[in-house]
Amino acid sequence: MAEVNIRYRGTLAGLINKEEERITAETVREVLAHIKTAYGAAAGKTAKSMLIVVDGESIHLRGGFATRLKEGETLQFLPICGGG
Amino acid sequence: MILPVYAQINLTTGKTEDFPISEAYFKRYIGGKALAARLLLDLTPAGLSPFAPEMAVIVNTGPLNGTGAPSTSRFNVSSKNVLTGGIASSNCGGSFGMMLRRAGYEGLIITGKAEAPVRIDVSDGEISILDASELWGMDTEKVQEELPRHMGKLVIGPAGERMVSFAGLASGERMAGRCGVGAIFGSKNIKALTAYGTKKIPVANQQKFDKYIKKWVRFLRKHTMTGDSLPHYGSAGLVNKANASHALPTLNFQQGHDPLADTVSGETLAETRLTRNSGCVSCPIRCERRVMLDGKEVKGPEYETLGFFGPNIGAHDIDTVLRLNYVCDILGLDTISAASTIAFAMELGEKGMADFGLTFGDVSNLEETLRKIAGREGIYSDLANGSKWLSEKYGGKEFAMHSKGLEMASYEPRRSVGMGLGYATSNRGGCHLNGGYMALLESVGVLSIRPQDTRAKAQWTVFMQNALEAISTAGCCLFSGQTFVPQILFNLGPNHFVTRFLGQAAVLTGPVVRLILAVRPVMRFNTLLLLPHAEALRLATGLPFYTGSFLDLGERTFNIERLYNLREGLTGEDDSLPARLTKTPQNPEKKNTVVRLDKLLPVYYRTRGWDKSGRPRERTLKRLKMENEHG
Repeated sequence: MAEVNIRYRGTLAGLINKEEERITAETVREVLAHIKTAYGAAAGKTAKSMLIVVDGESIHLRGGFATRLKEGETLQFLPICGGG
Repeated sequence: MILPVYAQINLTTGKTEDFPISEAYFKRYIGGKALAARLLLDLTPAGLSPFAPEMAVIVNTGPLNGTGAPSTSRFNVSSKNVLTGGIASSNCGGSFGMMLRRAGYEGLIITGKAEAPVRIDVSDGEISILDASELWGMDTEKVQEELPRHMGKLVIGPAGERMVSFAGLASGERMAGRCGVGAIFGSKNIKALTAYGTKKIPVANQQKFDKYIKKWVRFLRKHTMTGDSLPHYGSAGLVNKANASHALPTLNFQQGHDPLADTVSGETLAETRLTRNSGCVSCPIRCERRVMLDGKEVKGPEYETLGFFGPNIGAHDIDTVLRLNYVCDILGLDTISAASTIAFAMELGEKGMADFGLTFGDVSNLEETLRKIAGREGIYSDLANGSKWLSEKYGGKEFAMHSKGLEMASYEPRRSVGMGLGYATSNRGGCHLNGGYMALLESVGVLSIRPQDTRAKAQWTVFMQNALEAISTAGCCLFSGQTFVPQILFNLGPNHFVTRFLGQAAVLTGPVVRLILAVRPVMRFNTLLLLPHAEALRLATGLPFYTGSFLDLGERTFNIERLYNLREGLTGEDDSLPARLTKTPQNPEKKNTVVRLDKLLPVYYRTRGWDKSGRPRERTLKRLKMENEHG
C-alpha cells in the first residue's frame, strides 16, 4: 500500500467540498472506491468520468484503473476540456 | 438574393470604389477565407512579394457575422503569407466584423501603399483615408485608446510597423495573429482600420432564423464542451490534458511531457489568477480568461501561449506567461510564432550554433527579447524573421518546428499523428485549426482515437479540415463546432469502456468516412448534432445549405487555398514536417512515436481527389464547380 496525494479539480472539488487529501491505496481502482465510500455514489460516478492522471500522466498510458500507485505519487481528477 | 458588397481601396492613388461580388462567386464561396482566396487569385499576379504595393490584403466577413447567431463574431484577413509565401488567412473575434457589416461592407480589398501612415475609416457607407502620423509608434493598446471608443478597430503595433514576419493585427484585446498579416498592414503604412455603422444586417428568413438561433444557443449551453468546459477553463484547460497524453511540446518539441506543466495549466489559472470569464459579441460560450496584471484587468493567455511560454521553453511561472502574453499583444506579435522561434533560438544556443542570450528555463530576459524582436534591434532582427529563416541562416532545420514556414501550434504530433498530417497539409502552414485539429480526437479530448495508429487518420483529417473550413468561412468561431462530439461521451467519460472501445474501433472507420465524403450530395438534412451552422447559413442566405453542401463549401475553401499555394510555387514537397517529428521517436523505446507522413500523405491525397504530387485533379475541381471559373 502506498500513501498518495489526491487532487480534486473541476466539478468534483465542488461536489465533495475538498481540493486535496492524502490517502493510502494500491491502485487507481481503490482510490475510486474510497471516493464512493467517503463522499457518496454521485461523487464516485463523477470521479470515474473525469480524466485521471498520475504524476501528470494519463492512466491510459499506464494500466487504466488497475494502475499501481507508488509512494508519494499525485493522482489528479481533471475536467475534460476543449479549445484549439 | 442579397449579394455581399465589397470595397476596393487603393492606397497609392487614394481611390476607393465598390467591388461587386458576382452571384456565382457568392454561391460558391459565400465570403470569409474562401472568397478572399478566390479574389487573391483573380486580383494579384503570381510571384508578388507580400510587401509589394500591388499585393492585396482582404479584410472580410462571412454571411453569419453580426447576425446574432451564436459565436459569429469572427472576421478574416487574407493575403500572401509572409512566413510561407503561400496563402495567409488569419481569423479574429471581437466586434470589428459586425461593425464592418453594419457600416455597409462585407469586405475590403486593400492594395497600394500610402505615402505616410494612414487610418482607413469605414463609417456608414463612407470610406475615408485619414492621416495617422500621430498614431505611428504606439502599441496596440495605446492606439486603440486614441481612436473613437464606439468604433470597431483593427490595428498594428510596433512589430507590424517594422514588418516583423509574425506581426499580427489587434482588435480590442483579440488578435488576428498568424501569418504576418500585421507586417502587410505595416508595409502599406496602414496603422489602423476602423468601422462603425448602424445598418441592419440582412437575413433572408428572419423569423425562422431567430427561432433557430434560440434553439442553437440552448444546445450550446447544454453541451459539456461549450456550456461548461470552455466557459470555466477556456482553451487553457488543455495544458494538463495534452501533458497527460505526452502531446504537450516541451523544450522545443524534444519531449511531450513536463512533470511541472500543472504550474501553467488552465486549472491553476482558474484557481489562482482568474478574475472572471468574458466573451465576444453574440457568443454564449464566453471562453475568454480575464486576469490581473500590474493592477489592471487584461485578457489572459490561451492554451498555445501557456504551453509555448511554459514547458516548451522550460519555464513554469504562470505570472511570466501572463506578462509575456500581454507584451506580445501590445507589441502586435503572434504568441505562437514568437514563442516557438524563441524556443528554437534556445536550442540553437544549447547546441552552440547561435547565441541570442536565450536559455531554456531562463525567462529573465524574455520581455526585453520580445521588445527587441518587435523593434528589429540588432541580431534580434534575425529572430523577427521566424524559425524557418533562422534555420536557413544558422542550421538546425531538423528541429525548426514549423511547416511551410509557419510555426506549429502547441500539440506534439508524435502523440497525435493525425494532427501531424494536419500540420503538414494545412494551407497556411503549421496550423492546428487549418490542419483539421485531429488532436481533439486523438489526444486531448474525451475520445482518444489511437494516437499512434495511422489507419483512418487521413480520411478523418480531410473530414475535419473540410468541416472547420466551412465553419470559418461562414463567419463562425470553431469552438461552436466542438458540439459534434456527442454529449453521451462526456456523460460516460474517457474511462468508460464504450468511449475506450470507440477510440479503438475508430481506426477502422476510414472507408466509412470516405463514404460520407462521397455521399454528400444526398446529405440534404440539417441537424444541431453535427454541423448546426449549415441550417443557420441556409436561413441567413436563402441558399440551399445542408450538411452535405456545407461540407462541400469546406472542401472548396480548402482547395481554393491550395490552388493559391500551388500558383505561388509551393508543391507537395512542402507538405512536410521537421525531421525531429518524422525520424526521431519521442520515446526511444517506442519506435512508433513518430509521424509516418510517408504512410499518411498518399492516402490523404487520394481521399482529397488530388494526384500524387498533391495537385487537385480536374475531376475534383469539376465536382466542386471550381474549374475555369470567372467571376
